[in-house]
Amino acid sequence: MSTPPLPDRAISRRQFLGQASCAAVSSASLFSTLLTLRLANSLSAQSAGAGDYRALVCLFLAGGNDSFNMLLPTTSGEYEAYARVRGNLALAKETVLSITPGNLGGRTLGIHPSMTEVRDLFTSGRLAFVSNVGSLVRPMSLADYRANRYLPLSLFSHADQIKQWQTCIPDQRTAVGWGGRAADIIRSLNSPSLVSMNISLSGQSVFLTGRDAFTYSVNSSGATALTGYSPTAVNNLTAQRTKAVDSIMDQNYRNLFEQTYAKSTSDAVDSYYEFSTALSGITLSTPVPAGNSLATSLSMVAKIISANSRLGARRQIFFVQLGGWDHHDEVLNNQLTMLRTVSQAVGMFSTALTEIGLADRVTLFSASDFGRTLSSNGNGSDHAWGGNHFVMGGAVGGGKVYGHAATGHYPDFQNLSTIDTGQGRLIPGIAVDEYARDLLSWFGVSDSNMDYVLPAFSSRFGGRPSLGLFSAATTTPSTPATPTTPATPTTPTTPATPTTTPAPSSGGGGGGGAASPVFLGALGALALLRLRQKQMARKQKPAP
Amino acid sequence: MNAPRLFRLILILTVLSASLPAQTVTPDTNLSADEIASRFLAQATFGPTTESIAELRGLGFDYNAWIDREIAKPATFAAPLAVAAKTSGQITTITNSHNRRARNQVMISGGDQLRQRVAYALSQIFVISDNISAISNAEEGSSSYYDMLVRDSFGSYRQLLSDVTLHPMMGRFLSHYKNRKADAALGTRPDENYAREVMQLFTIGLYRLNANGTYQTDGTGRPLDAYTNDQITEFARVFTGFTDESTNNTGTGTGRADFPTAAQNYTAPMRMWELQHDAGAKALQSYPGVRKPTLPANQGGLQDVNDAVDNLAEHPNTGPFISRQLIQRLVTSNPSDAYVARVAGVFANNGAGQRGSLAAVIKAILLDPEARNLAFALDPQHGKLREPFVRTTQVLRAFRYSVTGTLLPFDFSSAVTETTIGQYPLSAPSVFNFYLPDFEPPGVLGAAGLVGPEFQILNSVFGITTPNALYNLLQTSSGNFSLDLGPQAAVADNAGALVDNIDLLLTHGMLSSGTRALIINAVNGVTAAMVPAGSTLALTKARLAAYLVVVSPDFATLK
Repeated sequence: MSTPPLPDRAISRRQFLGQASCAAVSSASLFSTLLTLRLANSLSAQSAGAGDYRALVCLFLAGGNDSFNMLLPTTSGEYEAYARVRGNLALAKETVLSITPGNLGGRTLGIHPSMTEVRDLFTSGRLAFVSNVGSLVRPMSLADYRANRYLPLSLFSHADQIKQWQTCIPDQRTAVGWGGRAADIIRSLNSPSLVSMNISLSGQSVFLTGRDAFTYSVNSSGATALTGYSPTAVNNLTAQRTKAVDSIMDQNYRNLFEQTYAKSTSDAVDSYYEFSTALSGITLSTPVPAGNSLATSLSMVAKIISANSRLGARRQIFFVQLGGWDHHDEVLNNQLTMLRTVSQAVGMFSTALTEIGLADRVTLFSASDFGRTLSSNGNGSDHAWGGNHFVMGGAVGGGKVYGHAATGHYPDFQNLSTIDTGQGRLIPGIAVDEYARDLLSWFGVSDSNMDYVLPAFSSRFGGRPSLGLFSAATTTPSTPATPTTPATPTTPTTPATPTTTPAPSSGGGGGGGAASPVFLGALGALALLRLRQKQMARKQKPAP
Repeated sequence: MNAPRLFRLILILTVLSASLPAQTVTPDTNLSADEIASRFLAQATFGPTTESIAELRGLGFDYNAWIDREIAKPATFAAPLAVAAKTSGQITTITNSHNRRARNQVMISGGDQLRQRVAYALSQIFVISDNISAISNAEEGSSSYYDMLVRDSFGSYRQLLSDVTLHPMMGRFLSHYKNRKADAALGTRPDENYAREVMQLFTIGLYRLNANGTYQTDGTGRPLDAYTNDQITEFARVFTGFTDESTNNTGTGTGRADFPTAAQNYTAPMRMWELQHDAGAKALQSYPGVRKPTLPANQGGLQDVNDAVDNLAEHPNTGPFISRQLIQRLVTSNPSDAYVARVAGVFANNGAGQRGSLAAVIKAILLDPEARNLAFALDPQHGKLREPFVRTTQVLRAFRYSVTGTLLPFDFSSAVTETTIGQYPLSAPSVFNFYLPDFEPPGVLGAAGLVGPEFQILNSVFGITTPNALYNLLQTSSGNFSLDLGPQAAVADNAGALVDNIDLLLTHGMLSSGTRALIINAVNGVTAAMVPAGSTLALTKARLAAYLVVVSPDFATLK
């Protein structure tokens, strides 16, 4: 039995469209196809009505969290097996925060003692765990592992496993992530805006990178203005500088490095005004834990979410990364402080979402490079594979642990021999694809578009049922959850001539065209008007 | 590794012919000898200066001779600067900030510019980072590590790998310091950290390579792994038993205390403590021509380490793997397979039968036609994004930075930190450096199958804060770190001459005619009424022109 191939033709068509958009190939028929698709999306988006805002927040714990000490077995027999395999890394049973998940048939688990907020969210039904999840090419056995079959590329390597978590294509080297592909499909739901649907608090990520969609990066204090630059300056030194900067960035650079830098810079400069105008005056009363940089970042995410209507955004995806989890050494001491940081930040974020009234519109989920070895290297643990994660939000079917159903949703530590590849490197029971599929379905990616967003899911894991992360009541929103999307990957759309004059198809920020429904101060409005004019002028040119 | 170059050229020419008509902006490649020298110095130093261009002119623009002179120059070291400040009583403790200033000083002002530039490139391959407290709190340890790279920059790769492996800061960073042999009673086994990363990042890489750096693949196109996890566990056993160099040779008990009690030593090579070294036989890498694919039991810890270093340094992957990354750091992000093969060939044999001569490798990289021939500067796929730290040092050196004060004065303005420019030497987020060698930027580069590592830290935050940091530097004419735009102000009444002056130093005469015209136009639009208080018309024009060159795509990329 071989690995089902990915739907290459479908991908390559999307790739073609994506490249066309990026490189602005002015093939007339292709261009009009894109225009038609975007117009159709825009119309269907309008008919879908407002008020169905949703956001996904990826919290990436970079370095590989030792997550079998974040969520560990405490049932009699299982705990002893856990303690045996973890050796001097085992947490004492009496110190962990005990939970009895609603779907484990009475088995109990322990949450790391630093994570009281996470425990509280779990018991109040706003947080769930997903157990032993990791990158898989397809469902596989220990015999497959030993025969070197179906293995993700460069298993156990940081950079590669990070990428694979974010692409869900673990047997290929690709730089496009499932958050980015989701945005390719769904961003047409948003009103045209200079601010991208995908926003990172942690710089570039594969996760948010789409074929078409690009990432807007801010830091935990928001966006920064370019010094000595102002679109509203007239007849002074700043005006001279501003005009020159704009003109320089607007040139058509033949060198691809110059071209990429110029686009990146002008996107950043242009997006700033819309972003800062939309966020002006927004404050949260939910206090941010002192000295917690992750909480500061998540607080900024909450502010951006609360500005969603000003940004014209009905869908947003965020990426927030916290590094330093590669605990080959001092894992116990470091997790004491770092998991507290995570727990307090997630607790704060939940409170902030309630404050802005969007608790059931936002789902935060954790991700990490990989799990770590159950065995000890003396004072730490090494790179492994499957690991545990959490999902937080009002729509989440909380208080449960979702995992491989046949093994009771959480690995039985008394019986790891069928999934332990050695040293406690566990074959994941759940593929990242399955985890992502539940999140994306809730987010609004239709089944027919799932082949584009998760190219491997249906062919390799399609036989597996939904994890059921989201309870039925909350997965069906009052408005259509599934936007009309570009042609399904397997059915190329016939190019058509638009019968009306479409809005400009893309701007410097991935949107462009009509004004966003944002509240604008007089200065911001003028600045935006200038930017719109600039954008329109750019559209007269064949290249970005 | 890359799409075939022919395919890429066809793709790009198709795109160009369809979409980029006459107004396309291209680098100026009609260059004077001084300008050509400036371009060379941008690849080989922390930035051309009027003086360094004159030095090359004095050598008749003989780049080979210039490189030989640089190799012969005495090395400049950072740690002694920090230690001297402490010894003299100016500071009581060497902090991380002092180390950064000391390294800035040798990088920016050191007379051994090629050596410093190569050491900095090596610091992005053999990565340690002061973002962990075991290094930031280690007195002059991080500078000692940098100095070790400086010392080894023109030596043998094998010596470098050995010194990296034994350095106590690498021991802290990748946790082989006090890594212990397996303990059945405790149920522990050796830490795999260094064993994994020394193979993945410092020597052979993930996949088996051809001599030109491309991946070897199986029948389905899947790249062939260069090692297995079982091999990592074998190498992990090699890297056990390291502890502080000390005169204390007595163990004190069991477990962690089984290492002798000694003060932490942050600078001397770690020593081997045999009681905690795994003395068993071990399997290493096996490849054609391998000398010791296995290690016998009980041959001693340092012998194991030396043999393992040999085993990796002599692996056929190592030449192309290291060569490609050094090319990326100094010249271009997407070297042709042939360029990699030429440099890797020199790595394999410097012409005198020696393997891994870094001096010969550096010379091969800088003198290669793909680095020197200006025709490549017109290839739209050639070049790289200049990393923000090097953009910064280039501005500092071009505009005659000056420092006052004697105590490690090279903090070159609080404007420049990793939070404003996105990187700082020896401060990467992890052992994977600031960016990955195969990072594919979204957009035209990624679509063309090209990598652009430095784009991994260019985003809408640093895309603004980096120009802001450089803007602030250009405004700084007083304080303990300042710039001097006097020579530019002196010619500022002629906007063309002003831009040409800056073009020589920052963009090597390659500023496109389009950008040049836009800057001249902006400078000519500056009136006396626009001059800020405390400035002059000439200085205002000079600063505006310098800033516009600095933010331009022409300068942001090295072609």
